This record gives sequence, structure tokens and C-alpha cells, in this order.
Amino acid sequence: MRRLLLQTMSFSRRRLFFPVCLLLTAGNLVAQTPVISPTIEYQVKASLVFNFLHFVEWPEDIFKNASDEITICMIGPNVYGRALKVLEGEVAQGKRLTVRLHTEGWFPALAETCRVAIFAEQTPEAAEETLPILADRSVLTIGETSTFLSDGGIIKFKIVNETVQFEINHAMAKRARLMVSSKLLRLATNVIDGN
Amino acid sequence: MRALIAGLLGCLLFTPATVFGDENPQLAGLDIDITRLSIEELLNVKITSVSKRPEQITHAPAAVYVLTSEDIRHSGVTSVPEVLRLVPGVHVARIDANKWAVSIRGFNGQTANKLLVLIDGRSIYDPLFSGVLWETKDVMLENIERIEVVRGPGGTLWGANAVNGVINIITKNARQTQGGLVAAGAGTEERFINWRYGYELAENHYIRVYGKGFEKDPGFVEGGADDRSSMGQAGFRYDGTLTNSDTLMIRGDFYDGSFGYPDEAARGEREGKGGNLLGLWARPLDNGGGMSAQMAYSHTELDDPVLGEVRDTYDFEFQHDLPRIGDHEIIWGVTYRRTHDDIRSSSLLGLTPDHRTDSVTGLFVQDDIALSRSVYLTVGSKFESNDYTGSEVQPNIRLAWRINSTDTFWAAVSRAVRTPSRLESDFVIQMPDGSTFAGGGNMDSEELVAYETGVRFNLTKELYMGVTAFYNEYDRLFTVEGSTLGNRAGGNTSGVEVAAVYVPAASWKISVGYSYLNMNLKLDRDSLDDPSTRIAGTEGQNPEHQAFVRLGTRLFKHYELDVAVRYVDELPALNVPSYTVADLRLARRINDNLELSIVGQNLFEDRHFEWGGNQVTQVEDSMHIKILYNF
Repeated sequence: MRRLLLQTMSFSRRRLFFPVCLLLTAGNLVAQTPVISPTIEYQVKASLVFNFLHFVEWPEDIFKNASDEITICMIGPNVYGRALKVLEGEVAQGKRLTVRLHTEGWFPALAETCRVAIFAEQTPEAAEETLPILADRSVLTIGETSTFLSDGGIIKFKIVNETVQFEINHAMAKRARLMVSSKLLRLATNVIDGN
Repeated sequence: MRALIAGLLGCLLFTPATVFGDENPQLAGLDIDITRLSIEELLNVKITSVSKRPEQITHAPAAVYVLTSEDIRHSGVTSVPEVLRLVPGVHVARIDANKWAVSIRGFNGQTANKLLVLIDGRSIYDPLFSGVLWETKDVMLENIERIEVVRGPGGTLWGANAVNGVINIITKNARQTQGGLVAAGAGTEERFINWRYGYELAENHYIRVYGKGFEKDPGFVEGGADDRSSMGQAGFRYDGTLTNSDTLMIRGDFYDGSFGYPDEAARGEREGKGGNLLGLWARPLDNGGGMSAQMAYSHTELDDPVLGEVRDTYDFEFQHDLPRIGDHEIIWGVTYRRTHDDIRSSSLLGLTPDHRTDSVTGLFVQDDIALSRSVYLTVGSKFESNDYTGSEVQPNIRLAWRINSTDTFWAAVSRAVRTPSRLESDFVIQMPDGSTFAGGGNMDSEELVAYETGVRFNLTKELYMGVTAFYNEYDRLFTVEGSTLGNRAGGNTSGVEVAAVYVPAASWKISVGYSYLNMNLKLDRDSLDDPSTRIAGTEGQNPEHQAFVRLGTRLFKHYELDVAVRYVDELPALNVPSYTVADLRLARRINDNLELSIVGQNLFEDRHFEWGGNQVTQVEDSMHIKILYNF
């Protein structure tokens, strides 16, 4: 066995070097949009958003066609940067994900097409204005301002002991006809229930 | 061989920022795999890193390097010292098949004594000789969350003996390790099995239990060697959230192992067993600060033909992080350690008294001052009182300029000391001629004043680099003065360390490390010591140059390929030539719960020396197969 291994190694010493180098340099150029490098915090939050999609069910009438997509809307400055863009094209609940950025202005009418709305901490007024409009429209709203849940949001991120945790306003989720799995409710640090 | 390494390095470093077969270019530069982590895992990701106070590693005003659990899994290695080979500037040498010499910035030896090593905040160095018996301090690698390595003095926060560096091994929160895991492997040099099982005791209360065992074959000596070893270890970790947001962590380990010497007839066998228990309570304060208290107890028994040691150590630590007030952010804390030993002497070596209780009391305070939005000044000091040299002051001053969100320039001046060990202070050796050679009960501490500067920056979005330069001035280093020890040597060391991480895509990671070390020690004029052993001997146990390249990639979705090549310069005092070896790992993920891997270690050379002297064996190339199963 050892001899065999050694023969392999001496082979690789001579022959493997150039192919490896070639492999690394001859790659195809991929144009990359210059977006901000997200902090680990927002990478974790983006990853949590992706996970939430597996534990929240929308009412059947929302997705009329099998080809309907789940649109994730970012409202306000995109602090998630690339981390959110990664989700583009992924699949959750058998549906393709698309990501839309509403960095400049927020038009409540877009609520018809957003299935997930993420609100940036930097623009709390957008959340305050929009949450009442979205309340009955089966949109999973996610935010991080301290009053997000009392304003009518559904999931709020918060930082506890250097980790990202979340709270759920289950009453609002029910009002939006979203089925939140018991597992997600269990993992939340706090659940607001209307009952 | 060197030409090959240089070529490969060049080829990797100067490749344009593109990659062949890139599945998703958007993933470039991300730290986590966004679509693969579970909620449970995500809820435990620390979004900051530690310098006693959580702080972005990119902004830490020190030479910090972090190995993550993924780095460790990709390395394919099976022991903690081998993991440390992946850190730039750390010199790891295998003395025999189970004993290690590990040091940072020089002064390496089997009892390398200028390095502080912590497991979950508990110091594991042995006050008997101020070093770490690596063979007995094992951690199940799958339980490690990260290893933080600080090159340079850490005395201000961690106290005496954190002279040249601090290695902090941090294990995963029990909440992160729910369910079961078995990792088992067998190969040409070792067999091992590691397992753990974690469950929820009640809401917000988690525990895991683990066990591990291994047996390792002897190293190589013409005619056969006896340095085989085996060990069993088991333990647990509990993590809970109490009322309000207080957290409590309790952990413990128990181990028992035997560690052969290369020539058993002449030197016998070393046995080690022991256990430890640690509790950490922490309370975040509403205003942004926090408080924590930690208590630890450890019991160790070492049975070596030359010396036996039974030791009980109690540690207590309290820390208070004040919230930022104006431009100031203050941390202070108190530490207390009490250690009791019972020594069994042999005809070769004795200690007087044969049992002794020592205590160390300390206070530290540090202020992080925001001079402007981007310039931060950290001043602090530790004040310690010990039973060997009385009181010691270890101040430092650090400046960080946060150029932008990723780039930081920093500079620091620190003082650190190494207090005499129990052995250095109290040993007695009867010389063949009837005279006595005995410890220097009145010795002073060894002293270091370190000047360091460094920069960390993103050269491109995909290439992250850190460069550190240091100049260390040592004084009152230990010497042999006739029939006792003294403090009559000094000198300086200097060096440069480079670390680079290149992530052209989420499925590719290339890490490069290089370090240069120059040691320039000298005896004081009044010293009676022999310069060829004390000076040339100390200097020549450290490589002038070290370098490594690690490449990890995911292939065809289910395969992982990892290659690590490392070069270590010669150790002239030990007649150890330079060497270049490679580790290779190929893993296949069968499904979400099962991974198979084949690992080759120390390839390129049939065998090589990493250390010199009498009881030393060569490291042979090896391979093993490993199965990793989650349930």
C-alpha cells in the first residue's frame, strides 16, 4: 500500500503541477456586480430567511400556477448585499426564488407580488407605513427595528449574546393566513400569540 | 521541491480572480454556506469574535488567526497539534509518535514555556514546567467551534506566561450539537473513534456527552521503536439560558492514556490521567455591557519514570465589560488560581519540597478609547501577585486604525513576563561526582518587551491578507550558573508573518502562510553558562522560514478535495534538515448524514525528522480512511 502511494506521489510531483496551474488560470471570466461585502451577521440573517421559507406555508390560492415564484423583496438599503442575491434561483417549497431590491422607494402596490418583505433597519418609516397595508396580504414580513412586531411585522431579528435570534408575532402570521410550523415557533426566543 | 512550492505559490497567488467551473459566482467572499446551514446552526453562529470582549477579527489590534470547525474538518488531521500546523507562524514539531513541541515566535522545545493554551477559557499549561503536555490535553476535534491563535504577548488580559502567544480552543455550544455523531477511522498509523450525543434537557437547556479513543503506532527508528500510545477520554457540556438572559455553561472531561517513549527499555512509558470541571455564568447587561464569572477545577496525574506529579488546581475569574461611555469602553476583572502538587522524585530528578501549594492573584483593566470614528487606542495592564517572584505588571498599549470595514492597520507595545516554573525553582539533581545541581529559588521572571505592527486588508474582494512584523526584546532569560539557575541572558528576536486567504468562489478556499524568524540572543557578561548550549542551542531549535499552502475545493457537488503542502526550515541545533510534506484529503458526501474520506498525511517523503535528540522518532507518511455519520 505504501509503495503504491509513493508511486502516486512521485507521479503527481512531476505531472500534476502544470495541469493544476492551468486549471486555476484558465477559468472563465464572470462579471460580478459590485455589491457590498455583507457582514457575517447579515449572511446569517440571509441564511435564516432561506430557512424560514421551509417552515412557513402560504395559502393555496396565493400560488395560482405551478410556475409561480417566491419573490423576496428587500425594502430600504440592501445591507444583506450579496448574501441575499445568493438566494436567487434557489428552490424552496418547490418554487424558484427571486430577489427584488427596492432601495430607492417603496411602492405599497408591489405588495401584491412580494411573498417575503425584508425591511432594512435604516428606514423604519417604510416599515411603519407599509406593515398595515400588508397585514392581510399573505406577505411574510421580516424586520429588525425594536418596534417591528408591535407595528404589525411577523418575524423580528435581534442580537443576543453575539448570535442572531428571532421573535415571531404568531397572531399577525395567522391574520396573514401564513402557517408557521411548530418547529419554527419553538426555535423563536419569543412568540406573540393573539389567543 | 522548494522550486515546486514556490511555483505553486506563485501560480495560486497571481491567478486572476476567476475560477474554472464556478457554480455560483455570487457566493464569492462569503463566510458561510447560506443555503446549507440549519436554523439551529445559524442561531449559534457568533457574529463577532473574541478579544476578551467580542470584536471583529478584522479590527483586532493584534496578530490573530482563526481556524474554524470547517478548516479543521477539511484538514483531515486527527490531533490538536496537527491542526495548529495550519496556523501561520506556529512551529509544530513531532518529537516522537505522541509527544509534541509547539511554539510561536521562537523558544520551542518539549517544554516550550512562553505560550499560553486555553480550552474554553481554562488554562491547560502545567505549572510544573510552564508548558503544555499536548499528548494528554486532547479535544474531540468535531466538538471544536474555532481555535483563535494570537501571536505576540497576551499578558495584559491573560496574565503571566502568555509571553509569545495565546492559543484559545473554543468548543461548540451544546445547543449546536444536538443529535448524534460518530467519526471513526483506521489507517497505517492509527485507529480512532469519536462519538457524541446531544439532546435538549428542557426548553433552553441543552447537553451533550462525548467519548473518544485512539491508538497510535510507534514512529520510525532503525530497528523499531516503542512510542505507541493509546488514550480514552469522555466528557460533557451543558449550555442553558436561565431566567432573564443569563447563560450558564458547565463542562467536564476525564481522560486516561499511556504514551510510550521510543526506547522503552531505557526510558519506560509515560502515563497520564485526570479530569476537569468548569462552570461559566454570564449575564448580558441591558446597556450593552456584560458580566461573567468562571470557576474551574482540574486534577491531573502524570506518571513518568523520571518524575511523578499529582496536581489539583482551582481557578476563579470574574470579568465585567462596561458599556461604552462616551469614547471609553472599559473591561476589568479579577483572577485567582490556587494549585497544589505532590511530586514523586526519582534517582535522576528530585524536587524540594515534594509538595507545594501556590497561588496567583490578579487584576486586569483595559480601556478601549475611540480617538476618532476610525482610530482606537487600547491601554491596559494586568497586575499579578505570585509566590515565586512577588508582583508583576504587564501593561500594553495598542492602536488600531480602521481604514474601512475590512482594512485595519495596528501597532502595539507590550510587556509580558514568564514566571519561574515549579521545576526551575525547586529541582535537585545529584551529579555523578557527588555535587548537587539545584533550582534557583530566588530567580526573577523572564521579561519581554514586544513591538508589533500589522495590517490586514482586502487586496481584491477575493483575496484577504494579513502581514505582521515584530521586534521582541528579552531580558533576564534563564541560564545555568554553576550549580544553580540564574537570569543572565537576553537579546532580541524579530520576524515577519504573512497570512493570505483567497476565496475565488464559495467552493474554493486557498490559504497561504509564511513566517520568518530571526533570533539573536546573548549571555550577560557575568554569566557562567555555555553559549553553545544556551544561545546556539536555544536559537537553533526554531525554523527560520516556514510556509504552507492549503487548497480546499468542492467537486461535482458531493466531493471535497483538500491539499496542504508545508515547508519547515532546518533546526541546526538539532541536526534536523528542512522538509516539505503534503497532506491530501478526498471526501465524498454520500447523503446529508454520511461522509466518507480518505486522508494521506506527511506525503512526499517516506519519513522525516521534525525534532532531534535521543528519544526521538521520525514521522512516516501515512494514510487513513474515515467515516463521519450524523444521526
